[in-house]
Amino acid sequence: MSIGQILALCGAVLSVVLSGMGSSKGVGRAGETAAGVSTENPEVNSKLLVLQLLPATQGIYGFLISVIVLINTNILGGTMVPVTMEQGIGVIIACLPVGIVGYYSAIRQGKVAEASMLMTGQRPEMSGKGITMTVMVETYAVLALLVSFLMVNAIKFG
Amino acid sequence: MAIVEMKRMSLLAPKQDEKALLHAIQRLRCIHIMPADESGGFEREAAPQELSDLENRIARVNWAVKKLAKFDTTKAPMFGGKPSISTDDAKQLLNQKQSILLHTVEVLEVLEREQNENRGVIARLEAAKEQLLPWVDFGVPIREVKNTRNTVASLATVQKSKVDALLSSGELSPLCSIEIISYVRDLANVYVVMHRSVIDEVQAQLKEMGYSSVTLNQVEGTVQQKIAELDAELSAMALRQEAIEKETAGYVTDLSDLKSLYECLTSEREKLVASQDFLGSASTFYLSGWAPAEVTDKIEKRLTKVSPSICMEFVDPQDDEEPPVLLHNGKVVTPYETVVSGFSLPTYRGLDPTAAMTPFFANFMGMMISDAGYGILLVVFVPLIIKFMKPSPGAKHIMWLLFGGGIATIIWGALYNTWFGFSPWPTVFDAVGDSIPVMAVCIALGAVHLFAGLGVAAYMNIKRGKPGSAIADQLSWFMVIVGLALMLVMPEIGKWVAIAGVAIILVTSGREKSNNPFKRLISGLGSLYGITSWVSDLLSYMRLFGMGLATGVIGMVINQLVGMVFAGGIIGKVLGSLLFVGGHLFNMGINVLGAYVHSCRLQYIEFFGKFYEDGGKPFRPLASTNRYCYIEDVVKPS
Repeated sequence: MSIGQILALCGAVLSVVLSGMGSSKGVGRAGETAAGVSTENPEVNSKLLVLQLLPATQGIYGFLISVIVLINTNILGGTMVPVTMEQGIGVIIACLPVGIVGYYSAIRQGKVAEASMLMTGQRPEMSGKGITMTVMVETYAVLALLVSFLMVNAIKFG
Repeated sequence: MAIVEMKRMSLLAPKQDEKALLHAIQRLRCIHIMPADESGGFEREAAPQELSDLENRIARVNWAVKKLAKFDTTKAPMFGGKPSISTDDAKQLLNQKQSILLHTVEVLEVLEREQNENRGVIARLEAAKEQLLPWVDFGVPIREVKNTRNTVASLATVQKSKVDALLSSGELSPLCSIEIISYVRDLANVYVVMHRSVIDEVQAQLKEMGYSSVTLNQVEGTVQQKIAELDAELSAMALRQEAIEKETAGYVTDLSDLKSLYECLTSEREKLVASQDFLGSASTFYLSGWAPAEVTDKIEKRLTKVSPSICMEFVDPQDDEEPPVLLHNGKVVTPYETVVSGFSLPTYRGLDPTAAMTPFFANFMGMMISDAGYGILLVVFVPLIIKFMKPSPGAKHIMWLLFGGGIATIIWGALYNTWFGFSPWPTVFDAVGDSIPVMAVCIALGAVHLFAGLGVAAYMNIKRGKPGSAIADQLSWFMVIVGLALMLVMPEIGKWVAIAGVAIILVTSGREKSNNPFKRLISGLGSLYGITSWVSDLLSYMRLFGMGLATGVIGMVINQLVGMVFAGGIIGKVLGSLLFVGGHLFNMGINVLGAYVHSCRLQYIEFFGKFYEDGGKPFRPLASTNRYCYIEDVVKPS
């Protein structure tokens, strides 16, 4: 296995691990709050579940970029294509936006989700607004995903 | 097809008909009662005394329902509908069954009280037993542990290490005996007997060991006997507790009646609370409220039948009055009202955005779910779920939203050529391989969406007699954005359209602030800065691409995994099939949720931001409650 190939794998790892860590933290914290609010007001539980799931998407975005790297380098096909060192570094750089922004935005989104849950527990009719506030954070994860995607797709192997 | 027109309703009626009229109004479900203005010799009616009594009964019944719900073994389906009872049943419940059911509640309360008392007794018995347990091997009846003429006897705890050392060293006087009964952590429980002649010497030694005497004066015989007694009492108590539990569980058959009673009682409370908004004189009462204009005839007919001597008036709202808002749309659009009310209702004199929003909402959802296979699942299963599970009206609306999204998903999924992660045919929009055109489509659709918002704003301006504002605030931006877009294809025309738009903005946007042309120009420059919000709004529609891409790629990965597992013989085929179903259901679930949420966001932030005037109060007619069940006899307004 060449250095380039290993670097490409590092890129795939970075995108899925960083964003996955962020999402785990965001969803986890939101889940704790959801459990707490549910003990006070069990009737809003289903609304809380929606809020809890919102920070999960960053992990999926990271996974998506990771898989695209694996597809483009044909690891999923069985034999990895040759990757030069420059291309490998390129893959790592391309994976950074979704990894870093995914990590940070998932945690921030989790916090907004928690706050929205507390609001929903007190005033269930506000849950729509809470969801909107929470989704605002996600915009930046989507933008990072797009940039990562365009960059990864621009690296032609073989 | 919009915001329902309201009339201000005033009603004057004889007091003796108040109950019957309230009942009729509650059945009609179309009068929003307001606090009546105090004037003309009327006085606000005092809070009825029944109210606190009623609240008390409701709390007790609710407690009983919650208590019995634990024993309810009939499984409620997750989306199952609530049962309904007829108005006659409701009347019967209130009049005849109520006292029996309240008696049941009382029995339950007595049982609960006894259970709680027993819990205290059990705790006490257990504490006593706990204290005695270290002495269980002490065979002498406790009463016999006493001083005689020549000896002194006592039970005590001392430090374990020191007493062990003393006993093994042989320094203890032979006229004293220390018997170790048991050890508890670093203490020893001991039985000490000594001759009076060595009392000073031994007591000094004992003091050294941390001597602390123990009295077990509640014990008559031996400790063992006492523990056996306590055990007997404890098991009797446990049996009693079990019997109480069983007896309580026996009342579970009354649960559904209790729930219905709760519903009837809370509905009664609604009426009483509403009646606090009335004004009254000695023999009449006065009610003020809002009713949809279309049903005023029906209300009049119905209420006159109940009380022929009433006097009623419906007038148009005054300019300074803010009537409550009720949305009314066609069958297709109605489910999307939940999206609007999830944000905030429009003002009464504003505009209902539901119809304008509907096609965008469905299509955006389709683009984000983006797998035609999932669309088919939604279109097939959602109506079946609605038919067989009878969800509550709110849940039903959400489901029809999903159904609409499902139809759009089939269309967009076919364009993306994704069917459960497979791409069977040549693709029109290849998001992974050739993504730029797909992104362009997303941004273009976003522009259409934003322009629709501008259009609505322009329409409202024109309707209010301000066509100039429509040109200055909406057409100008339309020209700027279209002009900039045109520059990509027809640079010359595009340039001039955009410049014309910019010119309008520069000249007009300060028109209400100042007449000084210089100040107006500066204000125009400030408005031009709004172009950044247009850029961010348009970019926001990239999520259509991102979410769609996510669905497609995850679906593809699932299929690849399934392909690998599938190669492994019979077991592989079984596991592979399970993985295929489970994986795609998961992908569908998470993406439908994401698509719904993001579709809402695009409406709330981008679309509504262009025109929406929100802040209406919802129309809340006096109606029966429906926490556990519906009280039927529905006369739907309009």
